[in-house]
Amino acid sequence: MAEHLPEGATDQQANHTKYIGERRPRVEDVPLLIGAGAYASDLCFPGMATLALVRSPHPHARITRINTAPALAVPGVIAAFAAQDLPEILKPLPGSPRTPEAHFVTPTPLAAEVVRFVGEPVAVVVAENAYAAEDGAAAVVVEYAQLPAVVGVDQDPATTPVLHAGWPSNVAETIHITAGDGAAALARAPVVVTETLTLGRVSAQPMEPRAVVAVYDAATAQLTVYLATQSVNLAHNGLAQMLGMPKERIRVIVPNIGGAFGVKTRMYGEETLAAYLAMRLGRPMRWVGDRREEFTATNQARAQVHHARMGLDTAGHILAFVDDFQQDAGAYNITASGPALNAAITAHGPYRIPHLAMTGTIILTNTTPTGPYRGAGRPEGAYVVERMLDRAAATLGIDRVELRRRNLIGPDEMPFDTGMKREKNPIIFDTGDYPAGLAQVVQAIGYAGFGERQAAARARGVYLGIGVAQCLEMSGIGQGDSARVRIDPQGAVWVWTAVAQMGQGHPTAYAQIAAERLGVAIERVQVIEGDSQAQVAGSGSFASRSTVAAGNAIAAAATQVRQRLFAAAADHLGVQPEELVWQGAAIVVRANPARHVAYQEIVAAAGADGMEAMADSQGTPTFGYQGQGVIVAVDPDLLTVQIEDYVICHDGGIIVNPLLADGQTIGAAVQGLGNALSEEMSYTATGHPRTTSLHTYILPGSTDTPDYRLYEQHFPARTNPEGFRGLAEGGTIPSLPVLAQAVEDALAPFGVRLNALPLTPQRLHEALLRATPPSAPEGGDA
Amino acid sequence: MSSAEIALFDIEIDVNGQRMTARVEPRWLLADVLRDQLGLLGTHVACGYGTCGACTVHLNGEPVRACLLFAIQTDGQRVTTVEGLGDAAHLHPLQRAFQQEHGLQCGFCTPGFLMTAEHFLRTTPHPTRAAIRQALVGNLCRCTGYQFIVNAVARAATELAASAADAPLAEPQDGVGSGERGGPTPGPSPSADEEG
Repeated sequence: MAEHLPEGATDQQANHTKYIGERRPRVEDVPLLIGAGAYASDLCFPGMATLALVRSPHPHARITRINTAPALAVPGVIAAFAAQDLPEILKPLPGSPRTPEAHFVTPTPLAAEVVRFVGEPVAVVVAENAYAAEDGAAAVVVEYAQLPAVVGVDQDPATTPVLHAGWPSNVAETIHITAGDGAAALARAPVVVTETLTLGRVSAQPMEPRAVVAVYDAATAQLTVYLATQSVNLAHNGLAQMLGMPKERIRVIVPNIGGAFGVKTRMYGEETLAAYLAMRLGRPMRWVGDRREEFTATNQARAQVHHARMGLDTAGHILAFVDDFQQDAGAYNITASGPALNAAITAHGPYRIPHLAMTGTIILTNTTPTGPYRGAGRPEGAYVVERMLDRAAATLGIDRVELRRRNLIGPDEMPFDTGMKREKNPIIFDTGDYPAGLAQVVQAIGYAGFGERQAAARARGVYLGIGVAQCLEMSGIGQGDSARVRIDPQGAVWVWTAVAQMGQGHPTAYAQIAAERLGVAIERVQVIEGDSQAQVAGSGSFASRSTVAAGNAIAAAATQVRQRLFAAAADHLGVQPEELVWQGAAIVVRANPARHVAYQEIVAAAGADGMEAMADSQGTPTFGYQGQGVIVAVDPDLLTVQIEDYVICHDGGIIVNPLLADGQTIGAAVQGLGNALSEEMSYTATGHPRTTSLHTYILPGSTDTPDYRLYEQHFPARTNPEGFRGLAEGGTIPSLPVLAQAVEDALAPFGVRLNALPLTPQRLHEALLRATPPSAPEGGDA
Repeated sequence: MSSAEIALFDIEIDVNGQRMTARVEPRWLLADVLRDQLGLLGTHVACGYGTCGACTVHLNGEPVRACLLFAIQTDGQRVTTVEGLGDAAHLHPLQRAFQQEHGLQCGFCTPGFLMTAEHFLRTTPHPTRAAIRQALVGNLCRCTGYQFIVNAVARAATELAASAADAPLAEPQDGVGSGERGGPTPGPSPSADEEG
């Protein structure tokens, strides 16, 4: 074959154009492995100054006086500002209410009059280095008049202070997701199960705290902001709005991001402060948050209380599911309706539920704002439906897995219209075989023989429990992303997107997509993300949407370039494009490979700019199955939970790179494990956070986590051309209910009921104190 | 504002086999001096109080938290950072294994894991999987869920053991900054005692 290749066509891999689906290590790893990763906090510019924030120690207080002058006496301090010193940027951060009826408020970069959570910034100090900046921040004098703090969503409207002027209460809005008539169906149901289920507040805790560097070039009047953000376009628009500057004078560049998980999607005040002060003071400006700020001043999540009722017939078929829940939004309702909507939709699960009525009320409190984080409501929804099924199984005396099996939507029912709508768009489960997924999990975890094993272990004083839970991972919401693909006369391929890579592997996976659809060697493909100058439309990386949105756009753009390339090559060779195939770096006539042309030659002939196409993603949300099975051992004295075995079966649709997919699944599952067992942002009754360090907020470590055993289904999504599904949140979603179910099963001899997460030893202890052993007369199923 | 009233001290550290000098305040942390004064940005600060292990470096061959040491304490000592482990052209077997096994996602914690694992494999050349998990318990990762990191360390252990068997004279002495460079993955700056 080689003798047919033109001189210079040396791309060894070029014949290998089957890249989608290849288990391929990442191209972007080497800099990260040798300490050359270039995160925002690694950037350094001549004359760069450092910011430190003065933050409120009170959950709710009126600022009566701020004196920044003492900071100026600290060696190394350059300047210090309170809100009133910065009228140009004293406006609410970007955002808009979901509906006109909703009450909506975002914070200003610095609080001017009232602080509403511990950690809210009230002043900023600029200094030569971080040491001086922190000394300066400590020297700023702030006097407060404390106000009564509102904590928790159970608020009496008659006596609860209202956080924001002009609001009738602290309720921001109420969301509804319905199918059929939930209330009527519930009233008719012969069996009704009622529970209150609580999900504790958690914090994402990416290893890199939030960070930003802003550089202003006065000569060109250009501002460049290096920001670890999941959405370069949201940040670009937002900074223009906050600074009152035209967008063309602002460039946002996203450096490597040290983890994000949802909390680096929306804007924070520090970004505007750094950008504004870089211009005002004429020096590059850096702010790097510390771990405490990551606990108090970065959006948190979950924090929901569900009052759920499930109606069933005596054979265990679900007739109705009604859930009234509250979302604690924290002090500002920046993004809380998104997680509430996701929770309501995900609570449907993979089941036939003819009548469903979910009502979510978003309520403000004097705590750090909550927003999207790994799953963004999906784990909460799965937790509620799965725990309700556990309770229904116990009530009906039907095995937990059997009850699920009876209600699962079958493959012959696909696509399945749930009757639910999100903002007028119908929620339709596109494809899958959920019963096969459940069967895989049940078989792999050894559910059938577990009873004997459990009994034998209990006889030895070892408390084993098993859990099986499942979900549908909704991904690909918020379409409308573009991608640009260009092939240049030297043969290099450039791919631009508006999504952000924060560890998922876009530079590798997206090169796989482009190389396969275009037909070139993957080594020639460069993926470029996170630069507002690229002028690619799209809302960013969140909600497991990147590969569904940007991936489809890349495939479409690469296909267009390939078509143009083949059309030009066909002209050159005097044949039809359909007669051509790739052979190495050459385009050849299939029937006569001696007739060929190097692709670079065709591209060069098209002009110095090469060939380029921009395409938009097409599609609607897709729903991928995930089932998990787990066996735990609970120490009856220490009340610690040890994972004995953990299996996951998930349908990722068309998987671009199985190695990266596995990494996302396992990483997500461990975040869920932390959410379920150890992580909780705890607040006192007065609104002060108790858990502001890694000593008190317990992340899973290497000895807390199992080796997951993964199984896969591959039903291509029917709602986008490439069949991609998002999969970066699926691991988290069922892990909350599956662990709760397994721990409750382990402690069944004590009769514990575990309705609140996380299952810390303290919470298990309290549950044991409340428990009624099933041997008591009123006890039932054991 | 003048900073003249803060006393500064000159220190000299052997960093990755090179003599480096810095003028420091006594309170400046080793992590900050490595990053801001010496330009070695691979040492990441994630918690700042010794819990997460992201800033792990070697002091005289032993792993330490660079956020819990003052730079002035390392005056005259030998410090090895992730930059001393390998470079793009000469990756350490651990670095190669992390790439092959997808042992990193965002990469922010990775330098700390590498430095912890390097010391571990130097002292425990044939570890069990459980021993690897135990050795990594002082390093937090929020992306990977650890499983592939454990895979990577296990793979590197196998490779290192195989190459040690091939080259018994390349017995490592006390860290990547010196003896181990004589092994199968030559480092950028060989030192005099290289052959160990």
